[in-house]
Amino acid sequence: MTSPTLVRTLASVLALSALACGPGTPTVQVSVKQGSGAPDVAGLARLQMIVQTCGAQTPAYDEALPVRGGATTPLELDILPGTEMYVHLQGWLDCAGVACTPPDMATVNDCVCPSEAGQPPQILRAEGCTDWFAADVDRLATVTLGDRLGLCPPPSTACTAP
Amino acid sequence: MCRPSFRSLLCLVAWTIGLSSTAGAQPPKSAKARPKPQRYAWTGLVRGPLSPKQANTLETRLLETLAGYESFRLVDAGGHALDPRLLASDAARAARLRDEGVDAFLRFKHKAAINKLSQAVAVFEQRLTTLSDYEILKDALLARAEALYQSGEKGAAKASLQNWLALRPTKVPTTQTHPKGFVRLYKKAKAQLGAVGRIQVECEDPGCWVQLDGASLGEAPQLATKVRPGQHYLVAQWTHSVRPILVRVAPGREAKVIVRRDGPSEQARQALLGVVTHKQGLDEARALHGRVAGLARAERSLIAAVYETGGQRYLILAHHDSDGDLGAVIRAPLGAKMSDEATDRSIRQAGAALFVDRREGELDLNPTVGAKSVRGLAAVLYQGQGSTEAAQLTLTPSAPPPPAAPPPPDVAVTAPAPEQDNEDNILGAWWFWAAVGTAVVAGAVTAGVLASQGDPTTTRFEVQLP
Repeated sequence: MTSPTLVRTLASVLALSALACGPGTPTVQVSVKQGSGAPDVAGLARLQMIVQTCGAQTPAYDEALPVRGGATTPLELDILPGTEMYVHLQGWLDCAGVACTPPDMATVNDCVCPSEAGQPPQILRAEGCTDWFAADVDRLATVTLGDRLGLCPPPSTACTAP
Repeated sequence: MCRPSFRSLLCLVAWTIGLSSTAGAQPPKSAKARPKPQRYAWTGLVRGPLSPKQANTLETRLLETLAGYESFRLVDAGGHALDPRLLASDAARAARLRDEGVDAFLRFKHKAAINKLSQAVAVFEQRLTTLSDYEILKDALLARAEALYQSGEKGAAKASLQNWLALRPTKVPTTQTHPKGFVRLYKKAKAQLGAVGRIQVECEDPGCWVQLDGASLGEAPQLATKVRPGQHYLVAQWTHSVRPILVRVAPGREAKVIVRRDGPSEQARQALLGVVTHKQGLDEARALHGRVAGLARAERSLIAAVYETGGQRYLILAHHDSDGDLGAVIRAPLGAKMSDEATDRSIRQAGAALFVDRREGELDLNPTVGAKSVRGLAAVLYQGQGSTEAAQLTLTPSAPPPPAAPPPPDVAVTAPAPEQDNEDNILGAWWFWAAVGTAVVAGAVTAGVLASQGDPTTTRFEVQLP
């Protein structure tokens, strides 16, 4: 019959208009906690933050954060609201004077050679991550930096790519 | 705030395509459509009076039976496949990507080949490391190395060759099969691989079987020797869950891996088992079932428990939907041994009542009569009724079996017949042109909004350090 088709069409147009006028940029507040056994954040040589979205080949963000207390400069990443992602933090300490292992061969507890000349070798001493989550609206993500290594990131099979 | 999203544009395209397809071709009335199997998250078995060995035997038999239904596929609480059929579809996808990559390479489209082959490697690494056959990964790594070599990226080609070599491939490139330069690069990559190392694997939880690069090592702890340096794929497997782990071995070194079942999904699973053990109530169970299903990306979650009353042991099997609401709970008598025919028959009948007949609510299984509706079984499972629990299971005569069960999930169902008006010549219908006109207007409006604002949709991050 014609009328249900027309109703569906009009409903789709209305839904489309609603989608086009969706909410604004959501904010993810990443609250970093100090876990047991982890070195003090202020004493880290490098605090690396990785934001990975589901199904992406490369992280949306993989940079060192300034290591000082309080809020860091807000970041705006090209991540569509609602995309599943995780936040993974790694705390590194310098390990100069110890034989280092190239990054592509290093395992947990190895002192890792620098990828750029002039930088000191570093060893992973703390890490923490969120589970997969999506942020359609503002939300809080807590990451506890602990000394148990190798539990991050969450399994890639546990997310659904857009 | 009016803000566009790319999703809306995609939706417009999909909607417009959908409109044209519904207005045009319809599937023939005789077309058969098999519903996509749902994912069911397996939480585990609360063993009650059984010994760990008996419980393991029962859980293994239960999972083997549940893996025989077409309507769903079992995953563990972390979303990893417990049903090999789930792996088969991902393996087919990885194999297709590999074949497309090789095809692109043979047509000298090296960039496309590298892209496809990298996707094949990624699919395998993310979803298929529990397989015993790693040929798809090995083929993709070798083909990617050759594509990288031909596109001038010799460093990346060597790295891909070393990843391939770490898996101890049986084939080697020769001048009969590959260009001389590539064979030289292969020899160089092999020479620079370094001395073999070892992997020491321990599991914190008992009953853990480990597999390395597809080869079974046996029950943990295990020491894998003569492991080539590079990336390796370790899988720890229990009856109820799987944990894939990526391990890097440095030349001549030993990598020690202590496998812990940890993380949000394991915590939710353990908490749910605790609700059954400590009888913490249906509300708590409901919340945790929802969490387990959500973390496993499953439509439903399943749990089993054994309890004994009046000298008879019973299996209770329950499933909940993704909101945690109870779908059905069934009680079936167990035999004296977990491996006897009576136990197998009870498991099969319980599975048939829940997943073929799709009975809902609380059911008591009598092997000779079938499943009868009862009251109080969910309370026995989640709240505990002490010595009076058997008395709680009273038959409810007002709740007969459903008169017309939905079609069994194990058979194909006929697609719904198309609406009559779609079979007419719709180009002459006023409503078709009205719909097309509306779509064009909607598209123009959306495109206008997108063009006027232009920015990609983003997510903002604010990091608060301690």
